[in-house]
Order: sequence, then structure tokens, then C-alpha cells
Amino acid sequence: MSRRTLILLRRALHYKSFILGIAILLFFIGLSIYAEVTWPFEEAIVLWNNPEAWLEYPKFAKPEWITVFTGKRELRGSLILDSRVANLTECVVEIYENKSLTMCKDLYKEREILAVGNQRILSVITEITFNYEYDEFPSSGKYEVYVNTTEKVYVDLILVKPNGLEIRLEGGFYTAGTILKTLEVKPGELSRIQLNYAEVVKKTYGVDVDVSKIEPVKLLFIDDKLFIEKGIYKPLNGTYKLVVSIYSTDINATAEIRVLIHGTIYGIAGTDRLGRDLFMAIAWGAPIAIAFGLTASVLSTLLTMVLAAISAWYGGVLDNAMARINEIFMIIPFLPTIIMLRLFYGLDLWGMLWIIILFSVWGSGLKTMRAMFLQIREMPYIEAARAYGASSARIIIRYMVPRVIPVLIPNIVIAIPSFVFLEAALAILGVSDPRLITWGKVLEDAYENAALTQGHYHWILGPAIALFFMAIAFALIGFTLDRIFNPRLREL
Amino acid sequence: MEKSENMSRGDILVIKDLRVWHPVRKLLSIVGYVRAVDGVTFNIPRGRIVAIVGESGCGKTTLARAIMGLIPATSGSIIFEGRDLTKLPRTIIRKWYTGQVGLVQQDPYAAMPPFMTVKGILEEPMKIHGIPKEERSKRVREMLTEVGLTPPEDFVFKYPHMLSGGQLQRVAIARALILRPKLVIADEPVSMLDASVRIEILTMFRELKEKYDLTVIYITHDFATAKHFSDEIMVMYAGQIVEIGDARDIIKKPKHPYTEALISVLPDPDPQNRFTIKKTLPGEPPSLINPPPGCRLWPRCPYVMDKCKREEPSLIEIQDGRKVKCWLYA
Repeated sequence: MSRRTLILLRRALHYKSFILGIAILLFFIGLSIYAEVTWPFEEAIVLWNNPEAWLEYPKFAKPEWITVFTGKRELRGSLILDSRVANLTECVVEIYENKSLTMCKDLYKEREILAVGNQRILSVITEITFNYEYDEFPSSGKYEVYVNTTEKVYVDLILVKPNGLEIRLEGGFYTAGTILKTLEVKPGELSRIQLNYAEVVKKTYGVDVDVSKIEPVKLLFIDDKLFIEKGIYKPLNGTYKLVVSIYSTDINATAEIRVLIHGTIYGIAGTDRLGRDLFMAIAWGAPIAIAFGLTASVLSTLLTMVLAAISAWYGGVLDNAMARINEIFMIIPFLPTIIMLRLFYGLDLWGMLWIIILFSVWGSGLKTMRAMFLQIREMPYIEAARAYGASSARIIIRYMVPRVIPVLIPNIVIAIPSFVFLEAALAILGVSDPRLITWGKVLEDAYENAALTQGHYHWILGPAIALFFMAIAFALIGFTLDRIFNPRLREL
Repeated sequence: MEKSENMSRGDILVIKDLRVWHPVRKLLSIVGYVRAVDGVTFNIPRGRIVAIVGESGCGKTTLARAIMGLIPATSGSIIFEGRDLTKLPRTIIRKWYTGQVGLVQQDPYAAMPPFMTVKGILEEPMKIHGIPKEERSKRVREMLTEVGLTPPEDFVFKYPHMLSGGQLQRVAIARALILRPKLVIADEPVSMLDASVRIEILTMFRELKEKYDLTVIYITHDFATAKHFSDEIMVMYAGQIVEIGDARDIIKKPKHPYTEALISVLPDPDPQNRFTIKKTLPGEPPSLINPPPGCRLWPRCPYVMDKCKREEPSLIEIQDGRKVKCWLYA
């Protein structure tokens, strides 16, 4: 048998379509291995379903390779400005009586205890500088200020643009702890940044600007001259400086600042609404799709074959009973049943797999295969086998099944993508595993969040292309195997 | 020689009043029976080659299949080596009887599973009957040599489609003999083969029969090969045996009108007779669902009498070993 397999394989390699199919399949297998190595299964599920883990990633980021076509410079991932991290790099620290200075390449921190009357006040001034040399605005941003004190603190946060314009992000009293703000604003509301920007522009250029239509994060990075004079939105390139001043009556307090500026591109496949790396979903979708499709296809086809062989070989009452059961299963509507079962029993992907197999076993395939077996049953070599004492089980397994295997193998391969698509279709209908990462679930998420109308094409295209290529791979392999196993088709 | 004398005594197979009727169903009820084999009685002496001759549809293949145990007998008994097959449970038939009888089928191309090698095909019966591995490959080699497929190494890994019809029939014979059976049923083994290969195969078969002390039931529609190959001939007509006798006797002096008619239409090698048109029996063989009353041949018989239409004759022994089922000899 192995000699035969080798011969068949060698013949298959003469077909370019087979090589192409195998190449795509090998790519997906490589992707699966990569996924398993990079994010082990349980870890990947926890990571994917935990929005907290993705806070540092830009949302709706496009794939990185898109810049090859647009030629624009865009911010990749997120710019993270963290006063704690800066302290760890090569810095010069000077300590005076009431004052300490930390000077790094892009961070300057001044900690001083001031005497105001008989009150002693702590002043921490942190300056973070960064370059912004991109053609696109950041997608969004957020900042976090940590002060570990139980008393009141005054926080003042100013962004100094390369042209010297100072925009206040934050200013006021806070009671201790963490201040966590995003640069986003709800539609119809104006944020402090927008108001402050209008004020600053009025003071500097003497014009009134309508800021209600522009997101705060854009105002922070906009080229003011172009905007005021021509109404063009373009980011201003150059060195920005973020100045954080913190004043507190608690002189032992420490203050740290962390600013995140989210870019517009990330990774091979971009990110989704939570900033999750879509490449991870595509990579982990591959092994699940292959496992699901292969198991469903192989098991349902083999079970169909066994049932058909038993039905055809024993005939009589058994055959009749199986034909009636088959007809019942053919009438039961598949989709409503599986949706209902999913609702009542909360099935996971593998639970759904069994139900899909249970339904796929029956149907016209069983009838066709039974007809094939009925024909084979009458072959003289079967009679010969009975004449030398072969048992029914042996006749079915050793004499009848090998005759349908050549028809079966291409069918199994060709049916794999239909099960992968079925899983995706069910996911879009909301019938999917709550934990697993599948291509269908990414598509469902994209669909629910109107990815296409919002212009997030990569969100849909990534998993869709993966699905498409998986179908192509199995179709190419399946059709080639069909030509080899059933050479009569070649004449047509 | 003494052993063979011993063996020739006694009957290996005794068939008594065997009937194989296939029910004809319409809706849910049985409306009639096809009497494919209807009241057949004969015995096969050990070590003989017995030919069953008859036209297509006369029930010879059904008879063979019933003897093989492939289809159940409706009534009657098939006694092989003193044990009645119709009363034996199926498992004993499978474990014991199938090892005692071999079957050679008509179409060698269809008789071989196309996905097995010659080695696989020949080993299958031995695997089923639990013969150990070393013994199996030894026997495959032996058997291939015996049937003239030499050297065996050239054939063991071949698939059926790589062999010619004659070679395949040799493999089929090897498969039938590989379990060392006592009885071989050859159902038209050479009718699908070239005339040039036929004699070769039959001669080989005969040699093997001598070597392995076989008893052979040779089913054919061809008197020429039956005469050449067999010791005894049984003529079948419409599910019944109409004449039994020594092969040469039957061909030289046929007694039953049907045998006579069959033999009269044999091709005649004498050029003198090249223009004579041979007379055949009028009409067609009767329906096996509704056979005519009395003798089944009477509508076509040139010697028909009143008695023939009313009463069925029985198989009467007219000489030693010669039996005829006809009122002419009663």
C-alpha cells in the first residue's frame, strides 16, 4: 500500500496545481506552528479575550505594508513616553539639598521642595521630548499620571509644539492616585484640549477657529499655520515637548507620567477595535480551521462510507431502516437545529463539530455511496471472497471499501473548505465558540462593528483572504487527487 | 496408485432433490418463484471430473452457487463428506466447508480484486483460514509455479490489470487450489478465454487434479471442452438434470432428445457437411416461473407423447452409470 501511495504521490507532483495547493497548505501549517510556538494555546485564548492586555496597541491600525503603496510615513504601533522607563536609561542624576535633577536624552525631571511661607510644597516638573516625523495624525492617545499621596495634588500638563505653541491638556486639583485620560472625545462634546487650543490660537494668531469638528489628538499634532490659513489638516513635524508639573503638600510624594500616542499602522494584519493584533487571530485561525475542517470532513465521509457499506451489504430490513432514518435527517433543517442546540447547550467548537458531523453523515452522499456499494457487492470477486470463507466484516473492509477509496479521498479533501466556511458562516450568525479565536469570529466582530462602512477594510480582508486561500489550497489538492484517482475524468 | 483407487470409491458429494427457488415479489407479497434448480439429484464420485452441461439460464450457475453455499437451498440436501450443508450453521460452513471446496469463476478480470497484488489475492484465503505467514509465502510460490506462472517472483507484486486473461485465470485456479480443497467447482472457467489458451488451461487443470486428488465439477455450455476435459457429463435443462452418463458415451450416443439436439448442432469438422443446415429444437426454453406440466421439454420435443404432457418422468438408470429423464426409456 505504501508503494502505491508513493507512486500516486510522485504522479501528483507532476501537476502544478497540486504543488501550488501543497505550498499554500504548508504555509498554513507553518503559520499554525508559528502560532503555537509564539502564543501557546491557553495563553493565546486568555490574551485574546482580555482587552486590558491590548491597551498599549493602536485601535483599527492598518497593516504596516500598506505604506509601501501609499508611500506615507506613519506611526507604527504606539509611542510610549514613560517617566519610569526613562529613569532606567543612561541618565545623569544630581541631588541638592532641596532639589534633585534627573537628566536623560529625552527626559528632564526636576524635583524640588519649595517653602511658601511656613508651608513646604513639593514640586515635580517632568519634561519629555519626542520627535514626530510622520505624514499622518496619530489615531488616538492617552495619558496616565500617578501620584502616590493621600493629599491633594495640583497637576498641570502642557504640550509644547515644535512651533512653540503651548496647549494645556490638564490642569487642576486631584485627590491622589491615578489620573487616566484618553485624548478621545464623545461626539457633540468639547474637551478641555479643544477649548484650550481655540484660546491659544486666538491669543497667538488672533483668529477664531472652529475646533468642534477636529478630534483633540489631531489638534495636538496639527500644523497650525496651514490649518488657520488654508484649512488644511496636516501634522506638524518636529520635536514636541510634554511638560508635567505636579505640586503637592505631601513632600514625600512621588509622581510619574506615562503618555501613549497611538499610531495608524501595526503588524502584518493590523489591529481591531480593541487594538488586538489581527495577525494573531489569523495565525491561530489556521490550525483551528484545518483541525475543524479535516476532522469534520474525514469523520463524516468515513462514517457515511461505513453506514453505506453496512446498508448495502446486509440489505433487507436494516437497509430499509437506514434509508428511513436518512430521510428523516435529510428533512431536519440543519441551520435552525444547530442554532437551537447552541443556544440550549452552549456548545463549544468541538461540540458543534460533532453535531455537524452527525448531520453531514446523512443525506444524498449516503444514498450515492450506497448505490456504489450495491454495484460493488455484485462483483464476482466478492463472490469469490465469500467462497473462500471471508466474513462480512472482512468483505466490507478489505474488498468493498478499497473500491470507493479513490472516489472518497478527493471528496474528503474538497469537502474540507466547505466545513471551514460553515464554521465561519455560523460564527457570523452568532453561533460560535465563545473562547476560541477563529476567522469566522473575527469576521463577525468586524461585521458587528461595521468595519467596512468605517473604512477598516483590513479587518475583513485579513481573515477573508485566509479563508479564501485555504479553500483554494484544498480545492487544488482535491481536484488533482481526483484526476489521479479517477483518471477517466481526464478524458472529459 | 492404491490410494487413488481408494479415493475413487465412494461419493464426495451427494445431492438429493435439491431445489433453489427465488421468490418473485410484487408489492409486499410473493407472487411466484423462479425455479432455478428444481429437484436435482446426483452424486459426484471422488476423484472424477463431472461436467454439467446446459444452455444459458438452465440453472447450472445457480446449482454451482448452491453447492458452494453462497445461496441457501429452498429444500433438499447437499451432503459433502457425510455432512449435510443445509443443516450446518453458517459459521461452520465458513470455517470448514469453504476450505474444502474451491471456486473458479467465469470472468477472470472481474474475479480478482483490482486493488490487490497477486500475492495479496493468493494469501487472502490462507489468512482467513489461519495459515501462518511463512507457510503462506511458500505456498504462494509453489502454487504459482504449479499453474505455470514462472518464475513466481515476476508475478507476486503484479496487479490484475497487468496480467492477460489466461494468466489471470491461472491465478484464479491457484487461488481456488491454495487451500488444498477436495472439490473444485469450475464455473465456465475457459469460456471467456481465447481458444488457444483454453486447452492449455484445461490440460493444466487436469494435471493439477491428478496431483492434488481433486474432484472437479466443470460447468460449461460447451460439449467440446466437456468431452475433452471430463469423465462424466450431466445435461441440465430448465432447472433439472435430464441425462447423466460417461462423457464419451453421451457424446457418441445421446439418449435424451434434448442431449441429442444439443449434440446434433455441434460444429462438424467434416468439409463434406459444410452445406447441411442443422436442425435445432423449435421454440425457446420454458419460463422457470411457470414451467410446463409433465416433462419440461415436451413443447419442443420431436418425440412428444401424451404421457409427456401429463406426467413428469423420473431419472431412470438405463445402463450402468447412465441415467435419462425421459418417457422414451421408461
